Amino acid sequence: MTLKHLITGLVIATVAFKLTANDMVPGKQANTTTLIKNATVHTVSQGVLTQTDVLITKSTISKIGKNLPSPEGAEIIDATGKHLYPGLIALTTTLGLVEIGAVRATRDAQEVGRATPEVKAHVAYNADSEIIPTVRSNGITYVEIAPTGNGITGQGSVMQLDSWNWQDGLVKAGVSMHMQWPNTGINKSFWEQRSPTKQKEDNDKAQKQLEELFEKIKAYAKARKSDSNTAIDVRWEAMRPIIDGLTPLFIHANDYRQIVQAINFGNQHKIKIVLVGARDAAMALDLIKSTQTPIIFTAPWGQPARSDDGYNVAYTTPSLLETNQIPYALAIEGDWNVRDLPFAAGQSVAHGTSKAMALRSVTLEPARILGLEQQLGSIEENKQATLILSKGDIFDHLSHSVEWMMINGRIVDLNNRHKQLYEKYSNK
Amino acid sequence: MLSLIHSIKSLLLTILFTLALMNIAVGDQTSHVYGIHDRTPDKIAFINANIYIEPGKLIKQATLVIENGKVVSVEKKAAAPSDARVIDATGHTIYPGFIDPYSDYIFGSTSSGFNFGEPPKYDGDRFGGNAWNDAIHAQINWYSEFEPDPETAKTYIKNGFTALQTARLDGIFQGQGVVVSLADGIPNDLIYNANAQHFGSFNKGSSKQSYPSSLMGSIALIRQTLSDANWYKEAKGKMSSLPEGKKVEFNAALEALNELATTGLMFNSDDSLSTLRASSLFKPYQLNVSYIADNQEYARLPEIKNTQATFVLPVNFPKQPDVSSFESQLDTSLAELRHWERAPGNAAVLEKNKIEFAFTQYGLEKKSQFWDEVKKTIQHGLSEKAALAALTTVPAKLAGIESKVGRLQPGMMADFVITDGNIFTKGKVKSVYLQGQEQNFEPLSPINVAGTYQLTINNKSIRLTLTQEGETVSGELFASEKSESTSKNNDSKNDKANLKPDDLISLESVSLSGNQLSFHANLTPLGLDGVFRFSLHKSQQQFSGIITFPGFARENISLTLIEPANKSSKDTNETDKKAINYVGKLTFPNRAFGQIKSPKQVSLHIKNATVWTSEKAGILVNTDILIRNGEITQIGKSLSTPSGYQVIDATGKHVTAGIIDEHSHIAISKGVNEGSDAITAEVRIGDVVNPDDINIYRALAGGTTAAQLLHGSANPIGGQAQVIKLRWGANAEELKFKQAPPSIKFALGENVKQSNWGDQFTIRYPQTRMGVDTIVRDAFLRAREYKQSFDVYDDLSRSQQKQTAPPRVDYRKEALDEIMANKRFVHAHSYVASEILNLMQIAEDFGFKIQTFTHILEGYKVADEMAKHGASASTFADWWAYKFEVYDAIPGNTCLMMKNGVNVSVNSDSGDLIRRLNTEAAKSINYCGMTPEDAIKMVTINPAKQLKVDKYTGSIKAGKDADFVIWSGNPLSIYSKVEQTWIEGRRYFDIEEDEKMRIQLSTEKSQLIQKALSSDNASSTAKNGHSESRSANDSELQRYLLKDNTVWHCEDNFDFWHFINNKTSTKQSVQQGGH
Repeated sequence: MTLKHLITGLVIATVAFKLTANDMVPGKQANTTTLIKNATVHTVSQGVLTQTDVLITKSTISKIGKNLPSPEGAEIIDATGKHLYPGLIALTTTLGLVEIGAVRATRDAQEVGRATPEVKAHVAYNADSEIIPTVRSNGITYVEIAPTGNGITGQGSVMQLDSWNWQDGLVKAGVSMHMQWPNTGINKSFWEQRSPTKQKEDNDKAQKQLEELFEKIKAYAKARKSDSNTAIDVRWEAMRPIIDGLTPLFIHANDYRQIVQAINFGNQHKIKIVLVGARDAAMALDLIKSTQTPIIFTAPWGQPARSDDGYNVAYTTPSLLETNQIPYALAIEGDWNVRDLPFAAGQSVAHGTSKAMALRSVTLEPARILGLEQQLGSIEENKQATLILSKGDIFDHLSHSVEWMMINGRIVDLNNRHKQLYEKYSNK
Repeated sequence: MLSLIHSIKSLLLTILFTLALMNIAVGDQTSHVYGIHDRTPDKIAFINANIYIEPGKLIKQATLVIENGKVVSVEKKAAAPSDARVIDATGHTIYPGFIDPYSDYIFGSTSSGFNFGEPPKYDGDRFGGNAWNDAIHAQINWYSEFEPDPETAKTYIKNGFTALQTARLDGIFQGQGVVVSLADGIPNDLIYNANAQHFGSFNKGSSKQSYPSSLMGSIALIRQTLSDANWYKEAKGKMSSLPEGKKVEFNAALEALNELATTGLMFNSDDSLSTLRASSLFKPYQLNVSYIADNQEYARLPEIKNTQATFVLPVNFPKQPDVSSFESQLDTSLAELRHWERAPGNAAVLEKNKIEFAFTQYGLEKKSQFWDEVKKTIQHGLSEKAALAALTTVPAKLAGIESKVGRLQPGMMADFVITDGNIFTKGKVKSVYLQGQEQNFEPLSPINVAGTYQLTINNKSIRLTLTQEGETVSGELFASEKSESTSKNNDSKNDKANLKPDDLISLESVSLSGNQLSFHANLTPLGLDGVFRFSLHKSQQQFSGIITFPGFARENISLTLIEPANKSSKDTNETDKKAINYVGKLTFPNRAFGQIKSPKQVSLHIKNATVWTSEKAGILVNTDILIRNGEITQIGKSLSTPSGYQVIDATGKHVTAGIIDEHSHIAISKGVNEGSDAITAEVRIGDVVNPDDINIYRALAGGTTAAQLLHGSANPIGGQAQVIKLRWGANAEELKFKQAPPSIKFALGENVKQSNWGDQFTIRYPQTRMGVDTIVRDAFLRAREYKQSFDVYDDLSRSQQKQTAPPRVDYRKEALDEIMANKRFVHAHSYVASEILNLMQIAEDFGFKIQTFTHILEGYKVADEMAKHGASASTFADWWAYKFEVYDAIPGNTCLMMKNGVNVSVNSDSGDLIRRLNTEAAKSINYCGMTPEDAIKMVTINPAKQLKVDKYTGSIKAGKDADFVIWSGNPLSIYSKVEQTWIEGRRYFDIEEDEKMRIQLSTEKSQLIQKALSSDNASSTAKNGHSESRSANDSELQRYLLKDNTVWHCEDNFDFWHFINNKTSTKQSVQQGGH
């Protein structure tokens, strides 16, 4: 972790900034049928189908096949030479929660306290964020937004990216509970003046506190279960779906020791966990595989964490996961930079991942982790019509060009602040 | 209760002892004497000793005579003078007293006076004609503060030290040290040299003043201060020249610094890389500087030898890294393991390379460990002669007292150490003489009571065995009848051997004092009920005394010796020298992925590649390149291979020029910002280049071959930049791209007006973009005036010049003048349109040009104006929204600027992006439709032009340096990888070699871990491996940790010294606003 990361959030910005709404008008629900003709269809679930048609009825993919007949009144899109993908899904973002990183007034991602499971990301989601259309136009259609910080940070929500407000955008609330696993290693940054011994003590203490906290939460859940008159504590009430194994705990763990401890913790408390980060996953392949722990790998361009690590340790981790038949989702933590997601998938291909797995890691795998694999993440009949059409391969800067997007049957305006400013100053 | 009595007793003894010494010590030269004058004769002759009169010169069976605190004579087998007290030192060795040249002794050391959350302090505290900067107090003469401290002195004397050089170890110019004897007495008698070396460091210590806040700031401050001292010599008492025209100030610090040429300087640079920096800094002043070592000198030996300096070696070798489990091993680097293995061998390496050095106790957490650690240096191959020199003659010379101490010659001080054998093997310090006064730790010939004795109590025949270690005695009682009855022939030793442990009665409370021995024992197992107490004194071969029975009856008793203990001789010259066999490798830099040797320059024929020339020629398919003497000599199709050329078949591969990064902060030590003053044009990144930074290698793995290392963005006019080529393995000087002209960092906007620094930072001018304009203009006005002052002085008549001080060289203004003279080129961190336009206006008003706007995220709004001015642009590919001033940033910025005729590059500003600038450039293809040729130019020839090195590098063209990259495919494709990176015909990265190297590194690391696990103190590691010491210097030195290389960012603005000096460092004072 760099100094920069650690100090984020300690900044006190005094600039008050009034946000203006972005100019893109959310799409209207399509009533008609749409036929996409002659595309290279990246189905995810059934491989790549060339010269294939996809028929969309209202908001559903109704038919996939070659030379489909065109229903009357259908809008025809000639996709010859173009690539059709399911809309990309970005996990563990702060889109709509943070507008300008350095301006405190525009930050709504981090609540105060070490355990704030009661907070829900979607209620602060700014559907008018200027950032959203810039991310969307790169092919990202759904995001999980989640509170950040230390300890138990709060509940994540799934949003679709073309909405008038958060209620319109909300797809699924309480889809995840995020938690940062306590530090396990020794920090060797120059500014860390605690001795290694002290650091170890502090690490152990934090873990002990976490264990104690969970015992408390379990006791609360037990009390509530046996006597519904037990007074409600909004914090621990929010944890009950975790204790009951209904909602997964998204544990942010990067170091090998964190990963091992987090997985053991999940087993011990019989709760569902998802590992977020998983930088050192390559060291814990057997454990991850045997416990079938879902992985959200967030370091597609990760820098080597240790002095002795090879330059490409992070680059090659997705391919190692694939080789070991461990499914994983690929994600980029952040907001504006989430638009790099397709290129992150491309980067993993450069270092050994198959193209099929790379695509899966930004579509069907995230859908599965969010429990939305029945609707999203692949191009299949009866699935939701959330699709993107690109001139070429979306993974590579040389060919990436998203020309058309549909989210749940609504056509999305792909314009954004950047294109508008570009346009304006092209006229200077 | 017993312990209380014991401590009172020892307290009383201490007082008595002290009084006795004081009686002798108080001289009557100038002091009044109250009472009777002391005229006790003090001539002593030590006979039969082995005496080292100096390193390498041993006189056996020698007689040393001392009197009045001085050596009278040292002669072989000489008879003791008849009027001398005689001490028989048979079996003992005498060494000249040891001298520690670097000690804080009574004065203490650096501690931060700064508390996080405090507002910054820009002005220094002024008093007594001191320097403007609180870290400079060269005018202090530490002798004037000196009074002895017997308690602290003892921690030195116990190890054989008799004198040390000391000052308060705080600040940059710390004042003049004093050399003192560790004897007890009045300071007047103890001061050996009141005009010893000046002390210094890069660390501003307790100074709360903001400047300097970085290592490069400290270096700049020293450079300016030494120059000022020279100027002051000339200027003192005169009128200063224009424009001030005032009387030249009185400056005590500058006056004191003019002594440096005669006194020399003892400098603590903190690490060996910084020692090299200090050495170049002091070179123009021809000072005699000695450096505190970090015991990593072996890793950059030729450069260290080049300093021709004397080194002062702490012996605080790294604790064994914690590798007790896989988990703990994750925190241990190969570099730490290597250094753990080799650090004790540093002294031997220095000796072998004829680099002079002294030892110091400085940095040792527990001074009592000193000799254990010194012995390690001997085990690692240091000769005893060099070790003794490092404790005597070398430090004596450093301290300027070589005529008084360091050897045992007639007339020199009677400062010496008596040991019971070779101190470098098993000998121990028994007694130390300081100015002829003895400090005794163990009697020279202690009464020896060890052996087996026969005694009788109540007609019971009992045996007593005593064992003795120094003055500590232990023993056991057992019945002797049994053995006699069973086997008469057995000797007494076997008696005991045949006994069961239960039959042995241990002695309790054994105390030996002089020849008095007392103990008690419960004799019930012998059939004598109760605890019996013994009070004995030894005479000849037996003990006699009384025994107190349980019922208070007392009886005389005598014990007869029947078997003396074997005596073991400690006086052995055989050193415990196992041949040192290092498993760890030594590389450049000495860490994972370091180079065993510098890559060879080869003649090369690259065949059949797709060549991205970054020239008009564009992209050439199926093309060959010939390379010789580090240059590209020919580009063409189907070239024949000249003899002696290596061939690379690049079929299917792509070749581009090496990637160049206009904006990087890798390979920089100890602070990227001198973020204190608003104008810091005097600081130089070139002073703090860090050749050991792994980010150099990782950038090579991404195809980067050159980078401009920029100062951060904390002030409108920041520091001077340094362009480097990424010659991994080279030293700091060799990394520098010598042909690159000087450049400098400017910055505008939020960072310089401290928008995101926190609430304390609201007092520095400027706080607005209005103020940024005026402070930059003011700086140039002053620089212009400064330059004119030299002309004015030159025009003065000779007699006028005599009364006028010459203009003072001001490095800050010199740099500004170079800008106006178009000799130094400006790279300006900037974001918004208004400030970009304004800076161009300022430049034009002062007759220069902004070379490159860096970041320049709103460049697209003013691209035509930039083109007209002639500024180039280096931007982020797609960063935005991280702070308010980048809210209008767009990824089409590159295309719009380029369309308007601006030379555009993309830069990294990070240790991450410097590894993948190719795909950063490719973003302009998908965001704004740039052609691939133009995109690749944005990371090759365009930045080369911005750095004015396009004559040498940046494209594939005959005559240029062979700086190139071989890619697995299209260099702009996300699917391509770097396969090889070459600089000047040398291969610095190869994807296959990298794989092989990783296997070797892993083997080496496992061997080192095995060695650590099987070494003697493996088990104690967990407890002792980490220091709790909180003194900044100590904790830095003591940990086994080697700190990670920091990857800096533009806005990493904080006070480096406050951070490392502060005991409870957190990140709270740090600002962060983005790039």
